[in-house]
Parts: sequence; structure tokens; C-alpha cells
Amino acid sequence: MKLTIRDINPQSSSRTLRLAKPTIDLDTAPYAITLLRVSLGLLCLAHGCLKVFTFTLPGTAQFFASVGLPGFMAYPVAIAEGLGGLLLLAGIYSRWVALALFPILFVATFKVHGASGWLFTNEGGGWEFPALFAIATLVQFLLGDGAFALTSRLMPKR
Amino acid sequence: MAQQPKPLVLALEAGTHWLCTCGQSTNAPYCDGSHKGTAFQPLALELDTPKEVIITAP
Ligand code: FES
Repeated sequence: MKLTIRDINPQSSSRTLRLAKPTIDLDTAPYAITLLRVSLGLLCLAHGCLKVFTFTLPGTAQFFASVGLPGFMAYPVAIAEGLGGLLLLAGIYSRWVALALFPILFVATFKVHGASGWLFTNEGGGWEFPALFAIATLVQFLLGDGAFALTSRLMPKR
Repeated sequence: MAQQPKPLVLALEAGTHWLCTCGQSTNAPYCDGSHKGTAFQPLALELDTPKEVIITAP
């Protein structure tokens, strides 16, 4: 009698398990994701607060209009940044929050900073920083929550 | 020429499976205790993850 033992449907297992040599260090990766999440969260929260308290919402609306964006967008954008920042800090559905913040930064890259040139230190701020910021939100979307996130506490384990 | 039996393909869960080696089992390919009195003992197959197991005779 001969027994042949095979994996069932190897395509259905995750990519890390299929790779002969993992490309991610699973011991440190969750903390890297948390570092990115907390940095993005603080930055977003700061920008949201800046719009509400320093520039004030009508001031932000005026600024939006000056760069060719509809002024009323200042309100949802400020709310999204503040709330998104808090959710990222807490690690609640970070993946989807980051994806929701991407369009804001994408628009900021082209509409607000596009005319100032590439270099970050240009007058008005070049687009390299918002572009990096936008890419970082996409990276966060692909990475998920990382360590010390609340999503796993709130959601019952499957 | 002896007929070549078809290989048996099983989808087994993780855990221990007792496979009959004596040929007396009425629940082939699993052992049902019929090996009592023969020189044969069942074969224990331990799996930590679900696997596809193909049994070919002989
Ligand atoms: S019945 Fe055949 S080995 Fe147990």
C-alpha cells in the first residue's frame, strides 16, 4: 500500500505560506505597520485640527476656493481628516480609513500643490510631500491594522 | 494479468486516521477492528492540517 499526501488546493492558502522563503519578517512587521498607522493618524488629526481651529472652517473654505476646489468641501474634508486621524490612531478599520483618506491627499497633491513644483521646500510647498503622504495611505490600506489595534478587540474572533 | 485497483483519493481533516492494513475491514480504507486475530495492526495517519491522501495498492 502506498500513501500519497498532498496539500489541498495550495492556491487558496495565503501568499506568505506558499513562498519557499517568506518576504516579510512576521516578528517585526506588525510594529512597522503600527508605526506607519500612528504617524499617519497624528498627521491627519493635526491637519484636521489645523483646518478647524487655526484657519477656521470658513477660512479653509476660502482657501479651497482659491485653489479651484469647491469651498463647501472644506467641511467634509476637515471632518474626514480629524475622524480618520482618530480612527487610525486607535487602529479601528485602519485599512478602510486609510483608503478613504487617499482621495483627499490625491487631490491635495495635484490641485493644491501641483502648481508649486516638485520640491517640498518650494514656496507654497511642492507636491513631493503630499504625494508621499498619499502613497503612505495606500500602503496602510494594503498592510491593515498592525499591532495594538482596536479592531480585533471590537470584533469577535471568527 | 491482475487488475490494477484504482487509486483511492480521500480529502482528510486534520487529526488521526486509522487505515486498515489487514484487508478484513468492511469500512475500507478505515480500520473497523476486524484485524483481531490477524497479524496486522492498523496504520495511524496523523495530519496537522487537512490534506488530500491518495491510497494506491499495492
Ligand atoms: S480492520 Fe484491518 S487493520 Fe483493523
